[in-house]
Amino acid sequence: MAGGGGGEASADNPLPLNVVPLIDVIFCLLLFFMCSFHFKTLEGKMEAWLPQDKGMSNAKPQTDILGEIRIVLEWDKANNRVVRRFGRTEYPNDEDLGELMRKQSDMAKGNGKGDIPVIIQPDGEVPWDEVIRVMDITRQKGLQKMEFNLARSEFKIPDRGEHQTR
Amino acid sequence: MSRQAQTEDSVYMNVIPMVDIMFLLLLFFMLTADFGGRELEEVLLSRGASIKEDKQDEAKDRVNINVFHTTTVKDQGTVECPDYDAKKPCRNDSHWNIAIRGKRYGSQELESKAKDLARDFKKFKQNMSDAQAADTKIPTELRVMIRADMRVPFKFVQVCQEKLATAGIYKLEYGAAEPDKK
Repeated sequence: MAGGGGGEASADNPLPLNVVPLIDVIFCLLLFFMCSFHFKTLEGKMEAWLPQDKGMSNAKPQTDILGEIRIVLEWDKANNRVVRRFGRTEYPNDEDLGELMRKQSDMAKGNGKGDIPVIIQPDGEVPWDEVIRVMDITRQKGLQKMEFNLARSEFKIPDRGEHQTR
Repeated sequence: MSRQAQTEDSVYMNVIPMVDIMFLLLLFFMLTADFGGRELEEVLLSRGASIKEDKQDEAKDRVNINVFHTTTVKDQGTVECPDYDAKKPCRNDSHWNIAIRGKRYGSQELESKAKDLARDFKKFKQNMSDAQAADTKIPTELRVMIRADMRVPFKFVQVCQEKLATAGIYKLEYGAAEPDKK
């Protein structure tokens, strides 16, 4: 007698279980997850918490330049580039900017001011990538206190009508 | 004396190892599938060498705000944007969108949404009273990640920061990618 197929009950297995649909479903699921799978760039994050107590302000730079490290980023439309300044000096080179931050921080510590914040002040047209670059330089130099100059902007985005106000 | 030829033996294929492998593969792909809200929009993140790992347990209860470009014709979308396709900053404000969990927001809507999120978090996770939860001067521990495309002008991120600060949300994180390994 020929051996039975998958659906035939044998003496050892009185309950016939047809596993063919199970394997079909597993194939379908596997295909779905394989198609939806994609290798993605490992994402991380940079934390830059807003100051809790300061709120929104149009804060002017401190007169005491040792109290903060204020990096101003401006968009030079004519030359299509970002200008990075500390005070009146421009720092286009990342290494120089990093060294400046480190020196200012060390100077402030030497004067008993402790950890002073790096304040990043970009104008609205500066590409976000340039801002992240300055944040990255700040972190690479080991400076933990980093803030944005959070001022009210005139720029408004038109509402989409997709949100229901509660 | 004849030797009977061996009767044909049926060749059985043992499918058990195959099913085992399929289960393992399925398990792998199911565990690595990411249906998180942040995956809803394609965003080209800036790269940073000093980024921290974004752990999944830290991402629990966190809100993700995506700042992204409308899909271009090149990627089977609706807008023409040669600058964006060439990975240059796009200066057309109408091409950029701010979205939370797939819903897009304007400035006023974002402020309203941020206040709702802060209020709900303070009420349900921080166990504050209704009055305290509604008070935007009381800061919340809610974490928000802003995933902004590297080409977006800062003013869009600034709007997010401003509206979140108005709602009492101060714990902001910024999405970044690892640098290319050369």
